Amino acid sequence: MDMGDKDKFGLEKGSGDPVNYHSSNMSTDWRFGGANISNQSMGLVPTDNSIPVRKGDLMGSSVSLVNSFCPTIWDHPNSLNLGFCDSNAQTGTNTSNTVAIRKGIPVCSSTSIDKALDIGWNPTISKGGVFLQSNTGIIPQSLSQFPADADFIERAARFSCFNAGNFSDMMNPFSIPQTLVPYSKGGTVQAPIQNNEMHLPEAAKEVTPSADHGATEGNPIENERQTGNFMRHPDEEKQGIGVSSNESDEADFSGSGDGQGDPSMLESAGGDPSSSKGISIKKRKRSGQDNELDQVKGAQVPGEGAKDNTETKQKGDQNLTSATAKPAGKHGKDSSQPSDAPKEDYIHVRARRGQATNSHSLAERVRREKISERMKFLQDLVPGCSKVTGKAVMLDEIINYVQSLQRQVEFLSMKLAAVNPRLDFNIEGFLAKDILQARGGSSTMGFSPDMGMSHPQLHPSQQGLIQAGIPGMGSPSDALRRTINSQLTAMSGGYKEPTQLPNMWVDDELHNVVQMNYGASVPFNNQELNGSLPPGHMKVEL
Amino acid sequence: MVVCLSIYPKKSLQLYLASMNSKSLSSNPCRKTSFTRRFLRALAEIRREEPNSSSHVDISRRCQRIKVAAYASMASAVGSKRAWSRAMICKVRNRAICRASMRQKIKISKWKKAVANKHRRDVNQEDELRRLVPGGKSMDFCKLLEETAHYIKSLTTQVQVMRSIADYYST
Repeated sequence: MDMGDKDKFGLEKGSGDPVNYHSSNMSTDWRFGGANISNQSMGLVPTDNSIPVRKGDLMGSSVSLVNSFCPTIWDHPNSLNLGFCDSNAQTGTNTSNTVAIRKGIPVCSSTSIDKALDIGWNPTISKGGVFLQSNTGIIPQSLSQFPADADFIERAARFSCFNAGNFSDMMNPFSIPQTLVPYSKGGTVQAPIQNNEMHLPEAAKEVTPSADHGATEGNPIENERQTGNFMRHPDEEKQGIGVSSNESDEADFSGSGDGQGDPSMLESAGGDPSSSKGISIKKRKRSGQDNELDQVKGAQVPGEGAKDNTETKQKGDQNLTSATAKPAGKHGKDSSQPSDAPKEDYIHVRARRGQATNSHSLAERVRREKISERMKFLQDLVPGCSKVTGKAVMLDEIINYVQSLQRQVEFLSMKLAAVNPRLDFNIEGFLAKDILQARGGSSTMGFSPDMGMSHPQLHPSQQGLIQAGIPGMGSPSDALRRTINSQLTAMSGGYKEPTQLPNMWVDDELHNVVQMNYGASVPFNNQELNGSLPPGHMKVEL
Repeated sequence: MVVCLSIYPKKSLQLYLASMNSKSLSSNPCRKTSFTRRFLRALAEIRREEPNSSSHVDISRRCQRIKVAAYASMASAVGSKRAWSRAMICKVRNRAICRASMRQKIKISKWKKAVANKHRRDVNQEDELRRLVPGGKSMDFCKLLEETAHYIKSLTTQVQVMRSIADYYST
């Protein structure tokens, strides 16, 4: 959502959607802050207080911050609007709020900020609900009202090292994209700046892998610098984002801030700042070694890679295991399967600061992290679940998908049973003809693009019937059709990709066939996702 | 990366499949060819055994056998590395062993359980998943998710191969 335009704010203001309302509130609030200097409508400031708590805090702080802004900022309202525009990107989650705050912080009185805004922060703030601008050292502490979710903390841990840079570093617009680079794309360190910036909001989907990739591949120098900077602010952990000493961290956050890192950054500031930062830094250093075993072992070894970090960690405890488990899982994702369990017999877990040290709760946390890791892997596997958040919905989708796959197996076995047995099953000939690569040939090829466009069911259904009917076979085809009818009425329809296909679950043979074929095309698309030939190539082959 | 349709030796086919499935498990192409071979063999055997009748009953029975053959060949192609494949192999073997007598009893008991489930109405998602994935009844949730992921991968491969076979023989 790159709305670098003032008019868009006006539109946002007018929207009745509560989310947009919030965003528009925020944007107008910013404008209001800037309206002291620029001529913006400022009617929404008092309504800002009605925003939910998490945003309300931000707003309150933002108002105070706005007043403390240097005038130079407001000399360039366009640039600010660019930053604000992204705040309108509503996600309605805490993470988005946290992101926005992080991003806003480094914006500071200097002309380079505008460049930074233009270059690095507009796309990165796209997820943020609030664009908090703060002057140096005036960030209130009311922003630390973020849920200390386990995942949140973990993500924060991963991304906190992004932000350990210097504030002056943030001001360099060209350093920002570099920090952004490793985390925007999954692992591409040297990608061009513009591309990364544009990709940041889109690539913000999966925080952990990108973070891990970034950690593994990128900028050891920046890691060192960030850890060094992080060391300077050891005692800021407990405070929220707005801690002045953390400002440099936040500046770094926003500088490095890809949209993915936002929730983690704020969360680390709000919930588990030092530990998560320490963990992430440790992880980053370890990622250079890129060894899961070392990570787990190193978690227990105090002098392990993150020697600098041990000093920076004022807190006594860190959840080393979680840090190790996560990079282990992510590295696993990188290479082969997610194997979060290291090869040791047992896992050394340390309690995070402020958390229960009960062994049960620690084990519970480890278990929860494992489960979330597996769920993420499953999310990649099941098509159309990239946007789904939440365990229950995800489980529903998984169950639906497995059921649809099993139904497809049944359907295909029935089809094979009725297929003309006159043909000889020449195994070698079958393999030699590369039928596997053809994967259904033209008939299914016709399905997938149609299904993707939610084309009316006539065309696919016709093809389905042709496929099912196997014309020219006479009575076997009739028997097949009867059996198909009996089977399909029993089945409740094919797998419906939640994002694409509208609900066409009708107890009709045509529709069922269509759905079956659509479900059949789903794994086809899944296969495509796995890197197989795209449909175009398939057509060329045929 | 497009391979033209010509008679290729099996090795190049495997290489092609390997390149095609670059992002999936490294052993996927081998698994795919292995599954294909087993499945085709089973199909040929079924065709040999059963008469080529087009009656409704025969077709459904053959369909059932083909389905079992598909699952069995997929499970054996995966091997015994996975819990679900082991469970499925055991199930198929038990099914073959106590085919005639036990089957009716098993069916009735399962039907009764299904009815009871409907009345209970608290079958949460986890139980549902355990029911779907073979061998999922005696796993912790974490392992269940892992097995589900692998099972989904294998199922997609299976569906692809079966569909390609069906299309090949129907055209």
